[in-house]
Amino acid sequence: MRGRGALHPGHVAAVLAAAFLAVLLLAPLLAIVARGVAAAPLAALQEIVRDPFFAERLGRTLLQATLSTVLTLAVGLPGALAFAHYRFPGKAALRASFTVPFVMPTVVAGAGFLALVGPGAPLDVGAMDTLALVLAAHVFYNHAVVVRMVGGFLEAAAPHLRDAAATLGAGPLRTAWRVTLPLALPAILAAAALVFVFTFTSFGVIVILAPGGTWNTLEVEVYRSVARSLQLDVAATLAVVQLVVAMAVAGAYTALQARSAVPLRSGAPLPRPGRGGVAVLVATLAPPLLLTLAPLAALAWRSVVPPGADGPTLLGWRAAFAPSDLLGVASGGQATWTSLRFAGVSALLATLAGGAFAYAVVRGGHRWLDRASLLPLATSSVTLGLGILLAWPAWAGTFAGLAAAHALIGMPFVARALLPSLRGIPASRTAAAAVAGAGPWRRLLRVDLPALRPALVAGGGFAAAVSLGEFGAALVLTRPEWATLPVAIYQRLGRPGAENYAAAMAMAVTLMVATGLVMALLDRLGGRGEW
Amino acid sequence: MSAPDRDGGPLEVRGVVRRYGAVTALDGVDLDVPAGATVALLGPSGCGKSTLLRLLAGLEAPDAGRITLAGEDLTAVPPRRRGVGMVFQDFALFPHLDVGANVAFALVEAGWSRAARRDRVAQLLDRVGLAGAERRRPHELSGGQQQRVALARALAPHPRTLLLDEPLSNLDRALRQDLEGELRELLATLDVRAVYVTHDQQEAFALGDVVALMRAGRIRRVGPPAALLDAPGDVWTASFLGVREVLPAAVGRRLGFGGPVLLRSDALTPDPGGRAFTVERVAPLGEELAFDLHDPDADVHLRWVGRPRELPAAPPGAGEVLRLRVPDTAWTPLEDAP
Repeated sequence: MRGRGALHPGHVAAVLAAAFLAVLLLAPLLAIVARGVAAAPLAALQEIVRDPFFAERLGRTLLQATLSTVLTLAVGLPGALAFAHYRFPGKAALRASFTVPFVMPTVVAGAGFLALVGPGAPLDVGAMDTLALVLAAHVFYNHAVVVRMVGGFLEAAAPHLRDAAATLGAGPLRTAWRVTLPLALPAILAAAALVFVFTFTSFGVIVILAPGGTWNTLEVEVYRSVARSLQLDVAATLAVVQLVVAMAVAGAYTALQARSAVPLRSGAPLPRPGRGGVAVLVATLAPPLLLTLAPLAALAWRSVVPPGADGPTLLGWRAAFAPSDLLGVASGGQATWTSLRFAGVSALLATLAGGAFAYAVVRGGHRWLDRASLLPLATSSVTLGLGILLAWPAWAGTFAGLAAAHALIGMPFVARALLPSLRGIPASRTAAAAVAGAGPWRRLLRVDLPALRPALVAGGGFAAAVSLGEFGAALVLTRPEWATLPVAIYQRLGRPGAENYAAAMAMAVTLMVATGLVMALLDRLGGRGEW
Repeated sequence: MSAPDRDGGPLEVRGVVRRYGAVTALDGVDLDVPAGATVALLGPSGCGKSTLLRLLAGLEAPDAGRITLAGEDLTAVPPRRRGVGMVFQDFALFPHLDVGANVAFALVEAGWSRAARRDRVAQLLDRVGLAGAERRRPHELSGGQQQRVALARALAPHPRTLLLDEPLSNLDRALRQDLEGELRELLATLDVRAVYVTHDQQEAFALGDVVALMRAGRIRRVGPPAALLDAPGDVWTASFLGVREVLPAAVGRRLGFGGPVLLRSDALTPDPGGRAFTVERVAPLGEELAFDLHDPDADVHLRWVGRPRELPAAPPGAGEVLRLRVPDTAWTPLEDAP
């Protein structure tokens, strides 16, 4: 169907996608590697690796990420299995509420736990700076990854196979052991890999909940090297080590993801739970639901009842949204406006780029771009910010620099939302349009685009939500006057006093509501991606 | 495996109701499946036939009514203890297991020894024409081969009842006809009680000793295929079975019947002294000719198919007259039930 010699949009898209990735991901990463290796020739590198401080950082990061992953699986898997097994009233709402923490900015997650168990909080048990608190926060915003990936996979693939197992003599437990779990293994491992990468490069949660530094990840150390002392060499070396680990695990993820992303099919309708099933559902779903809601509820509460306050007060809200007279502290209104502008521009860019990726993969036959589109997911945001700083110094502190970084981070969400929709367009429809005289460009315009509109909106909205909450790159790349909401929240949390605390909580609630609104809109539009 | 005396009794469905919210999928179904017999559940999509099969398998529970096997109440028995084997429309082979492990799945659950499993799997694969395919993966097989594996898997533990849910509908036509023949032979020699769900009339008539015709959650008529064709009973059944020629109530009354009536055009024979029909169109149909006829007296349209040499003279063309004898046996009054 491809016109010979003509400029096929699939190839044009491939060139655009490759250029996007080269400029925004490859060049920054190479700049980091070049700087890191140049700064530390082999002998020096060995010295760094032998440095007990460094070894401890790497060891603790690995330990923390491993524990986070195991715990997240332990909390998420029973819920995923229950989700895949039963249909029950409120399931869609529950699924949506489980996704909330995942799209919630890490700063909101951090602030939520701070409000719940931090100093002066109702559950102040001295948990600050402990591994347990870091793990709890990581489980909070990652268990949705497990429920979505594993539960979604099983829900789509397994009902008819479970029926078959039942008629072949297997009870529910035997079916889970012999059919459901083996089937889900690639999806489980893929989810585990993703959770590991996210927690290995964790940033916002650590700097808010464990500011003492005991549990600093490499990512936090990269930031400290850049921000506190402008030691770009040290930062680059640390980032290279982190990249090697993250990319290896991300590679495993993309390979596993390809195996577990079965074409979604509607099997037999799921059964309603019996009495035992209800018990299973409550036991598996109530704890994560509580874990999801408690920090967010605490956050909202603390924004009107800050520590030491006698009763409800709008002090924090007023302080947050009054024009700021403090140097280096953005006002809430300003930061909200900045965040919305970044979200809008970067979502637009991410939609164009993600569209180019999906189109090049499906219509241009450039399959390698399918996996390449996942790469930004494995790139942590501080590292990306550092890379852009090194590769394109002119962008530092400009609007374009951060918008581009956010576009890169948002792009995978668009591409993954578009791929199934584009693949779902029957070949016969393309052929019919071709026979009717539409060339590839006209088909793109008249056949593909109209069919992709819901997925485009969903992916773009997801990218906007991600931009709203992005923290690390914003911290590295912005000037004070470009402070986004997450940055402004962090600025406030770093200042003493109940008023600043309440202002931080108020802005965190603002960010939570903004993100929630975007996601609620998406759920209504019903976009579903290939994960 | 169960005791032979229990296998001897009929599978009985009594007053079974199944609702999904406001939709009543099964609205009081009665059905008998004698031991060794194959009952074909035939009906248009959405008539409830697959739901009835899922109830027989125990995958869903009825909202009312009972299912018994040789007097034993199965209604509350879970699928794994019902002694059923089921073949699914989309095959439902386990993608993480090879062919041998798929066929042996139920044997593992039933605690068969490794050697006994291996023998049974080999025997069944041989039986369905896939000898030696144990180590292959489901996705490496064609649709027809997958369906054979699914059949072998369902038969492996010697089920008392075999349930087949549109097993051929995902296959192409030529393959479907081959497999239909194989299935028929298999069902006849196995002496297993079988319920076969299909929306394809030809399949139902070829495979069912008894055909149960379903519509809108009820079983409309039950009987051997020939009896159903001879006496479809009502307009809907006759139309669904494609029996020619159903004359609506108005025409039937004009001809002196109480309501709609079936005119079997294949019972009409050329006869110079017969009724005069105007030929509207003639079209070759293989070696035969299809005449679209109109009886101006009764204002009846019908199609008659016959060999040219049966006709007394040269075949009449459009606008000419064809005389046919209409014996009394050609008429069958029908109920006017909707």
